[in-house]
Amino acid sequence: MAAARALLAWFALLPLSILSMSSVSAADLATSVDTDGGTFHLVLKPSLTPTPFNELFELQVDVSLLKPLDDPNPFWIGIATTMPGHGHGMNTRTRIDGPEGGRFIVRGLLLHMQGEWEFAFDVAKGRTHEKATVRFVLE
Amino acid sequence: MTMRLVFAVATLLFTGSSVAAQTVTFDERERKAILSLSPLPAPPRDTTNRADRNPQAIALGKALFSDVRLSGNGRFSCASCHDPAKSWTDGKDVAVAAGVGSRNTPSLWNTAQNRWYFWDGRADSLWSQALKPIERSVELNGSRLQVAHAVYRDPKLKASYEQVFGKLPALADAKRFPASGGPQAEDEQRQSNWWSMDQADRTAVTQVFVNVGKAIAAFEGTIVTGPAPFDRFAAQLKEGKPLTAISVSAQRGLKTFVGVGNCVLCHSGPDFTNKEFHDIRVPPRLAQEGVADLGRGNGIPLLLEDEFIAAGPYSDDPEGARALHLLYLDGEAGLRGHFKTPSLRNVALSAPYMHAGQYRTLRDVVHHYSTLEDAVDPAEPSHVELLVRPFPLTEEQVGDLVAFLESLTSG
Repeated sequence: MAAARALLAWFALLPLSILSMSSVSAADLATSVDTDGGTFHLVLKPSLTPTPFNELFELQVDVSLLKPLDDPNPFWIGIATTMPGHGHGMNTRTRIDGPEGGRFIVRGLLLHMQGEWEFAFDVAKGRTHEKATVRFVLE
Repeated sequence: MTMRLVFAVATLLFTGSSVAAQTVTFDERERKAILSLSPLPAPPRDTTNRADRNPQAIALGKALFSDVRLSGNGRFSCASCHDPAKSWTDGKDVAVAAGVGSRNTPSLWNTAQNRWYFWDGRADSLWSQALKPIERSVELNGSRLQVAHAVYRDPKLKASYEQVFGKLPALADAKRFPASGGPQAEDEQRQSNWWSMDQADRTAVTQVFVNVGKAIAAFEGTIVTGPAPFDRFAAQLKEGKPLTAISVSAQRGLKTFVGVGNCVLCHSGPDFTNKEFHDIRVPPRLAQEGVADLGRGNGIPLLLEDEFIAAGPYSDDPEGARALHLLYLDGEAGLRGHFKTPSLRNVALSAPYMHAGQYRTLRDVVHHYSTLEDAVDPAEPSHVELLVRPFPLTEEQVGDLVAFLESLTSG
């Protein structure tokens, strides 16, 4: 009985745990995050480490599946970059190259102010479309 | 003896308590922020300008900078508004030369550190910026043909030019090369003169004009500030030495600058600017009420149609670092009403302030940020700066912040 209750609790809390893993607060952009539906895993690698302040850089985004998905369509990503506490984002417009396999290169990133930045990702493969968020404080 | 001892102890206690009350301490976050503001490194080489740092080009550029023959009526030069005796600006609300401009003249201190030029960033290199006022009707109202002839006819300038850039075209042929004219001229005669020329001749004259801009830029790149009292303070802080280089009042102001004032978020780095654009809700000049200055909102389209862009045919590095920034310009980022963050080095010497000289003194500037009493609504509601919000300061605290800004003045 106790085991059944524990199992029930685990299943009840599972969506919550997935939601929290799809929103990551990181020390740097070099991190990884899962999407909110549990389908996609993103590994982020900025071209400069640590993530630079007020300097153009690129972000490599490697997308992989966390669970089987029977869809022949390629991966697709979108990205929105904002400073939630400031009411604005970057002054640049990024360009996304890819995919090559699951790899994308996001070009034209320039974080012109120190403080908390939010990278909101849209990830899709055919009809499956999910989201993930990475927040980090640029010092 | 006893009275002397009592007096000595009382004096010591009084002095000690005064010193203790005067000490300003900085926590680790503040220390890190302060050390990021100094020292000012040399600017990167401008690879779009082959004359950058060339001593002969610098000498040529210095001569051209003050040469009134570059202007339509022979009365104005770059130095008319960028007066070395007035901290490389003019002390006016807006520039006044052949006509009345609409923007405050930026100081040229450390100008080579910039990423974008003008308040709206419509030029992406110093040499490109140097060319714009020459042909603008309200500034020098000159023309590129006139500039080319001025260099050609002056033996010293001609020799100096040819030493740096090679042989000038055969400008003595008045039929091929009229005395004045250019594509930016607002009068029909100079426009007609220009377009009546052969394409090859137009290109040749434009190249001379570009080279003049590159020489002027090479000279302007030498206008750099020396160490200021703040820099000596930052060195003391870094080395753990007594903090004596700036006054206690300035130190309190510095604390506000990197703390509650949030000034350092836009006025960041050793040149005290992030080189980007913000809307800080400054009201327009009264004379322009009702005529919105879109700032960067207009600057991007002007930049993209500029023949002297860093990625263009007259750039010496059309695929380099400066050109790279052009690939990612966002004309839809909602930058209407945004203006470039100016450097604060030597700011105490370059009143009045803001893009149209709206504030006469640094106290007025601090008052704006502190109270937002005269602030206008953001020009672009989707791209605001929420950190621009009132933070009450006492008169003493305003004085402290001004004292800090004055400590950025180098000799």
